[in-house]
Amino acid sequence: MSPLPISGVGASPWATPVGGTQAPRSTGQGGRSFADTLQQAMEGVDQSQHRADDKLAELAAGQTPDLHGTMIALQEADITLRTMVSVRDKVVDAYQQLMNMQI
Amino acid sequence: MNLLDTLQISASGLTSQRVRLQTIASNMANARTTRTEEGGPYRRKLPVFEARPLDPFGDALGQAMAEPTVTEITEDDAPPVRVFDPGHPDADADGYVSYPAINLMEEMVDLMSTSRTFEANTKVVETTRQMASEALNIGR
Repeated sequence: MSPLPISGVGASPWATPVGGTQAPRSTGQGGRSFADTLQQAMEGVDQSQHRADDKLAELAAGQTPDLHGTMIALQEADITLRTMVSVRDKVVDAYQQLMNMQI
Repeated sequence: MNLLDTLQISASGLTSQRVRLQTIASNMANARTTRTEEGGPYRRKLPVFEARPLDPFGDALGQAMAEPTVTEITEDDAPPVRVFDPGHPDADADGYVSYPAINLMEEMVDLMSTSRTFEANTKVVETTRQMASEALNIGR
């Protein structure tokens, strides 16, 4: 009777090395986690909000005649914000589905 | 190149039409102006539009798409219209006054064209917004 291939289990590509230098698969292999991506996306939304804010302030102060540019910046801020809210809804939805899972 | 870059192109279109509107306003307001700083009657102003690549260092689509900019304002070199009016202070020795060669009807047509082009560009902005909204409604 040949010995059981116990050592082979550790070499399995699905095994997570305990205390290993490699990051776990769940945080992504490119070195950036989902949370990082989300953080970056939110910063982008924040930037477009600030841009719209600045444009509006400039227009109100009479520093720029760029009426349509202001309106477009506002629209852009609106679209990016709504995209972020949609993504958040999806993430929360997925989280709740996982939490409601029967064990 | 994404959906929001379309807004950038339309914004440039709107800006260039606004400059065109300003030149028309200037031409109409100065249709009877006989004195300028350079001397002689007012000369009709014409904007020159130039297409610039939206994103010269970006992908192929960004390089192919162009946004308009007003690079210079030229002057119409049509000769001034001479009207006999000896009582006018700017009349020459023969009693003729040089008025700008501005045809108000022509300017009105330009004005309508500007207005319609501006409207068309706002329509593109509106459609871009609608498409983004509809994309966000997928799977809701």
